[in-house]
Amino acid sequence: MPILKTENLTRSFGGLRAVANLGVEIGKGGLAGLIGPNGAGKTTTFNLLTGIIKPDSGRIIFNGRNIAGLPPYSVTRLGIARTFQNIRLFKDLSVLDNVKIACHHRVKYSLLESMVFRFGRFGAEERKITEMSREFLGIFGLLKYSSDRAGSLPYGLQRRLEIARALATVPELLLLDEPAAGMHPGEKKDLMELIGFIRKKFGLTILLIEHDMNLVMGICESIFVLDYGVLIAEGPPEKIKADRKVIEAYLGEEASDA
Amino acid sequence: MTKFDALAWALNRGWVKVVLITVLLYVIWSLIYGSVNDFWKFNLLVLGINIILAVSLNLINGFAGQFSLGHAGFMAVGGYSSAIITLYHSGELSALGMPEFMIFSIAVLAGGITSAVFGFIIGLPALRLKGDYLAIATLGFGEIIRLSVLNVDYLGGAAGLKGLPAYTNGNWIFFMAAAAVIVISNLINSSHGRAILAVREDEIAAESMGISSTRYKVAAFVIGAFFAGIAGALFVHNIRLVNSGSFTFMKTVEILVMVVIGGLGSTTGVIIGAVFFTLTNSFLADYPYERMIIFSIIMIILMLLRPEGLMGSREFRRRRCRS
Repeated sequence: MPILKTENLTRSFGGLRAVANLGVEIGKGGLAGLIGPNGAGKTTTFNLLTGIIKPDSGRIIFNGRNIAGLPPYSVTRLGIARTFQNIRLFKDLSVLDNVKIACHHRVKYSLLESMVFRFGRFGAEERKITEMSREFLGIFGLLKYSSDRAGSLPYGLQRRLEIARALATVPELLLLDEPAAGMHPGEKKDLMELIGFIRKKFGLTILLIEHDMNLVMGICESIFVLDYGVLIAEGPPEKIKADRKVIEAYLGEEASDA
Repeated sequence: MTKFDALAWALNRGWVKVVLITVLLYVIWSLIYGSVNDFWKFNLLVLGINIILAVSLNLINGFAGQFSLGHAGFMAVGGYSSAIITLYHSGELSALGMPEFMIFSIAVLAGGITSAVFGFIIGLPALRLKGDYLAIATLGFGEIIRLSVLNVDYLGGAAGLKGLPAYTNGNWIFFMAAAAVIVISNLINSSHGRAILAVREDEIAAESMGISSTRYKVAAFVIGAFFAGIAGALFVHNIRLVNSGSFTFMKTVEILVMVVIGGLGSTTGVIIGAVFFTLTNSFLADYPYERMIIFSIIMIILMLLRPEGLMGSREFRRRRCRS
């Protein structure tokens, strides 16, 4: 059974069909790529999957349940986490607090317990959160920055922190929106190894948007290609590389009289 | 375990520190309060009320980042609800054998809870708005509360309710102010508080981390309103009069000034802001006309030198965040 499946997913903005009748399927434990030229609807697809925008029609089946139309926080609690193309950290909070916030939805103590009745499970839960958050920071090599302001981290580390934060929600499906954007080749390579590592360690299914073709072809097991909101190709990297429609979408059509 | 180990263990427990500091401050407060004349006694009570107001408005405006201008309205709700109890129902309550202290406790609590209920009813729709629009909506709600009260005969109409018992005293003020500061600091230093901060920082990111932004915006608003209601109850039993003229938009501005002077998003900062504002006001009490001019000049200088407020968003203690 696929972990994620969309059926006829459609969303328009005014007269623009940003995503049209999208049907994709991702198997459990897979690593899939979502590519396409600028404005193809990749980020809109992510926003639809995570509930940030609502689809006009269509279904999103996650673990056998239709999640289309649920608010983002419910989607996250069901097990889909994401990062953002333009990094959206909690800039004025510490690096550690950024990750702790992602643990919040599993906290058991109530609002009243946190304000007044701070005995019993409050302390134990707080220690658990801190310990877990530090563990995630450790995996991403961010432990030594834990008390820094998140906005003060260099760009590459902010990207890593965003992934660490997404992981701390304990997802089954992780959506990465251009995780390697703006990184130099060395950083990209490290990041890709890291993504492979966390995928194994946490048994994740990953869907990523990326523009660097070498990178996408290198690590993804299957690839979906969008153009003007329409799925024009899907399959393993070798097939995509040879696909005529994909080449046309990226490079334009050959002159017909040639 | 040696004596020192035991001491170190105790000092490492957050609540031990809180209790020690509270006791110490209480002793200092009692010494000062007991030795000054009536003018300063009154001003110290006002100071305590202002601390509660500033800390609670800071929860909404500073921590939750929702720019609300309805705080005077919530004060009015608390003030009138408590006055109804001490003025109209104290006979029945004392017939049940309740001492004054109990009656006033019920009145203050009723003020806080009624105000919190109003906060919920107003907050749920209003918090869908953002920035300037939210400010205008909350300002409007504050004025609606005030003007509604003005036209209710049961609440004394324009004259308000006079002759309230002078229940507010130094102890009440100290412990309610301490409670407001401790409860709100506790909240902010918990997972729920971090959720409130996350919503302030980036609503979409917070939702994507599994946090319902509506829930936490409303929670901050309701808790803020609760303490504003308590402050209103203490306020009216200090001046022994509840009159809708006390809760105009200017009252909200005063509270906002304290918060902004101290630093939005810093509890210790806004306490300093409240102390600064109240003391400046009382030192200048002999110059009622020049007061506003002098105060404006102080404000301008402060805004030029420290536009982020005295404390910025930092707390006066170990720094949580290197920047």
